[in-house]
Amino acid sequence: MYKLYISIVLVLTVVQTDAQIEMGDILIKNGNLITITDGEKMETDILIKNGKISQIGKNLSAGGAKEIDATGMYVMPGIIDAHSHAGIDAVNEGTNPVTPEVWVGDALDPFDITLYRALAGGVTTSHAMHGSANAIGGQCETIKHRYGVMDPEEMRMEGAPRTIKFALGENPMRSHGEGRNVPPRSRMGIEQEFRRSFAAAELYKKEWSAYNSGRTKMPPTYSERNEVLADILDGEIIIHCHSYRADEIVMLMNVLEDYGVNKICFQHVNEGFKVAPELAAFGAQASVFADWWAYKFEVYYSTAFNAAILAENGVVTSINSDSGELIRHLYHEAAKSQRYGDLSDTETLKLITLNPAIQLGIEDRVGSLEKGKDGDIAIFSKHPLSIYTVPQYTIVDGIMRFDINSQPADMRIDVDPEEAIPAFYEQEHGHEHDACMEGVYEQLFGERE
Amino acid sequence: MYVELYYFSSEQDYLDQMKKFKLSLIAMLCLSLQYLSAQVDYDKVGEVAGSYYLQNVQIIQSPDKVIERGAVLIKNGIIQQVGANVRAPYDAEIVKADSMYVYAAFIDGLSHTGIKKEEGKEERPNVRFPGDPPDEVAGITPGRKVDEMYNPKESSISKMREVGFGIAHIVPIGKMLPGYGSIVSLSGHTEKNTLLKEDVSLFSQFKTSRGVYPGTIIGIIAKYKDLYRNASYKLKYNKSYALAPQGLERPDISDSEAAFFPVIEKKMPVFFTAEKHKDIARAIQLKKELGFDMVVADVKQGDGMAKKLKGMNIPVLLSLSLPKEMKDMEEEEKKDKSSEDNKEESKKTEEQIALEKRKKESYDSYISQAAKMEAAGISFGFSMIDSKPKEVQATLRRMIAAGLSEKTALAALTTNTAKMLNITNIAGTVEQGKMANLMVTDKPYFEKGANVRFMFVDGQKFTYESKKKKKKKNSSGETIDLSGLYSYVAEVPGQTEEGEINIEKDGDSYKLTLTSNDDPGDPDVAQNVSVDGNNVSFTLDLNNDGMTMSLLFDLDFTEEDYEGTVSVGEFGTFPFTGEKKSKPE
Repeated sequence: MYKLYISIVLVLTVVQTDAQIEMGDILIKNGNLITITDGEKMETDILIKNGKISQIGKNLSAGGAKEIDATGMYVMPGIIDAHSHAGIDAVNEGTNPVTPEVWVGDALDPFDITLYRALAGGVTTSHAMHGSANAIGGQCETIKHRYGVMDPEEMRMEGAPRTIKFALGENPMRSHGEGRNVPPRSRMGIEQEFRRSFAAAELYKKEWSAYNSGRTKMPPTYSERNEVLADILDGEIIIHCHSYRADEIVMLMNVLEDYGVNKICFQHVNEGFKVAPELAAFGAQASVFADWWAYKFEVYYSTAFNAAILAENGVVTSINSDSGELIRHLYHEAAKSQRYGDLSDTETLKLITLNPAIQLGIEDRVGSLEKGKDGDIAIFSKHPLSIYTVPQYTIVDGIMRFDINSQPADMRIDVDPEEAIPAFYEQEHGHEHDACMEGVYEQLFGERE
Repeated sequence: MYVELYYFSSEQDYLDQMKKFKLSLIAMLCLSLQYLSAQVDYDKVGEVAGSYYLQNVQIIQSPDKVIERGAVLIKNGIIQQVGANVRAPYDAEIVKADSMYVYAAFIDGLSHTGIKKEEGKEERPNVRFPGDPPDEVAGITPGRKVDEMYNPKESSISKMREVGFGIAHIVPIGKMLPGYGSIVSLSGHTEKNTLLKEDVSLFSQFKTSRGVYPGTIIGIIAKYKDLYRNASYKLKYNKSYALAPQGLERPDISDSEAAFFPVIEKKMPVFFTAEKHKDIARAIQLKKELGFDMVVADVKQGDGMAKKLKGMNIPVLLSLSLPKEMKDMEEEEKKDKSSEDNKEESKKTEEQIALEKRKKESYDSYISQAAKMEAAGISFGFSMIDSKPKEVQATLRRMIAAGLSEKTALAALTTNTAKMLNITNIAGTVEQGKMANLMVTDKPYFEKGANVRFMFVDGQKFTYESKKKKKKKNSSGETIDLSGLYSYVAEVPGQTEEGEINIEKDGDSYKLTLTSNDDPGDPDVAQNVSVDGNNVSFTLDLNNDGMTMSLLFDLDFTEEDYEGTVSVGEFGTFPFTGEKKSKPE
């Protein structure tokens, strides 16, 4: 298996390198820089060369690069969303409660207009996640919002660690127990899905190591599912787990402890404030909504202080969108946490920059304005935590991907040549929703009428 | 069989009511079943000659080579001689093709030609564990042979032949992994084996079964990798076992696993349908990870991936279906609007105008795809899997109008596809020694109004009337009023059925009543009447004790007469013609 794994990794590496990612040069003049890691630097220039931040300082010369006058504006690292379903064509392989082998990175959608709308909210990187229909869902993909590319390969954030979606509680219970009358039907049953899967993966590893060392001659049955589970056990994949209730959160930490797995970020984690010290002690992270709950029974109880309490307890915390609408104003969402939890500006902006970067394992590349990091920048008319601020430019790898003044109203890339054009566009085409349970209804009951 | 049907019908009342017309048709069908093995194809087959001589024709030998005036001699299914100085031997039938144009018959890169499509809504499979269904339920039947579904009498074969195709690469109908493809000759023969090459491809699609694993595109891709990699290990072990089985467990290989073996060994390519950019990118990604040889087919919007396809040397089969013509779409819209509210029609908003502009740009990009592929240096063919044979000629003309060269279009229809299917030694050009697969047209094929007048497939001659001449009878070429009384003649092998059709106007459509001469007192009323210009199609359902059969009629009318076909399920398609007797009143 390990030989195979290595050969797969090699193949993947080759794949990644042969997609030519476009990199650009830009000089942003005289803006107010919010570096996240090194305070605020008023009226300072920042130069991006070949897609990377090459210099921060006064009176920098463009050297032929495109120049933006950011006088009076605020320049911050591109916002990162640790929980989104934009830019992928499939969210839930909801037919089976355990599907670690599926990977949303296999079905990236470079034409999703949500990506452009996210750029219009300063978001440059997002974590395109599998949904929460399954106890062990599919692998996720960290994507850069290079809206405008045609080849899905060019969306991947090359080199980002692998991540996978887990889910607790009502969603997997509803999809399988209630929907199909197969396990898991209860919260207890969900715990057993994890234990059964990890136990199977341990056995699988043993069988393959016996084969690889020559002790057995016939290769065991190859299984993509067990391959990925084994990689989780080996710590090669970060778990991102859909969760609400404190008891279940503790349950999953116990299961992971039994199997020696420690890379975990809880998603939603609305009752995280109840177990913040436990989360911190385990080294678990948390990605939450600012003030969204009571949309179903198990998330009846939460608080707008959640992010602040978790952060104060030393849990690496982020604010996410899980929505094609919220993703457009994560800076507002962060500001709400500040309003309630009284966090400092830097602590607050970390919730949507450096902290989600840490949760995705990409903090060496993005999340702050530092020399050598990726040229992913969001430029706002006013301080990003002000309710009056408006995003002006969003830059990815030194390429201008959003410009509020000079881009056409219709930024769709893939237009249906036979589409009907009604008087009111949304009437015909509907709203685009992103949700953790996307696709599940259709898989259970057929297409919606 | 005819008598038996009577004999076994128990109720006397029922017998009385039994419509003779229907009964005799059913009887004819039964007869046709009996005669299947010896049946002669309906499109005016040139009897037994087997040797044909076409003289004074322009011969488009290949996209690069044209003989302005010459002759072609074919015999026993083989092109015997081609050139300016070919003489007619005494025993050859001289084909009336003077001043016509001879091409190599077209080759379809991928389709379901000759396979009956299942009608009706798909049912949700009933399995206990939808997350782990049997392979068959999940659409995983990679080793199934297309031969099992293929029927050389199926009506799609004559439809493909009519528009110029002589050979098709056919694949089973199904989901993710429907099975192996084969190359067939479209002669429609049953006495002669029409399978030219069996099991030449593994057909793959990003198409899920309903409600079972894999139920999404990501599920399909994961499952594909799982199957492929598992089969790779099995193959490896199988080989070492074959070499030295002492002390080894016997290999345990499922049919699905074994089906991948020739692909893993690169003895068989995967034909992946991939309509658009994203599908193509996904297929390429799978190929990269797993390493198989691949052809992408049914490509409708792929020029954005041209560079990548070329860089990886992946053969491409473009779809022969295009978006509806802009003006047709506009007309449809107008119709919709006039029926709604005339007042609202008058003013378009700025937003609507902008949206229409985007739509037009998108439309243009689809129409010019082939031209852009040509410019990118990709040598492509065409696949008919999602295209209508009737539209092929018009589609090609639209592609050519959008910049595709005629030479490349012809190569895509002949030589390029022959290369992809590895049949250049028997097909693709008009050259001595190749299979006698020829298309004869009355004008250069890509010119407007060109008709296919003869097809030779596997040496068998098929003759077609010029459609245009007939149309000229209509003074204006416009849609004519079809109402009136017509005769009909249905030619089923061994029997001819005659009667009358009465056509009356019925709103925008028509009401058709068929009366058999055998039973004038009991007419049948056509169902599902659909009128498209001067083309009328409709169905008649025959119910006979435990046997339901749907007859499908497809008729082209002129002012004086009509010709067309009646399709009777798997029994085949038969000529159905008639003349106008009078106008009503």
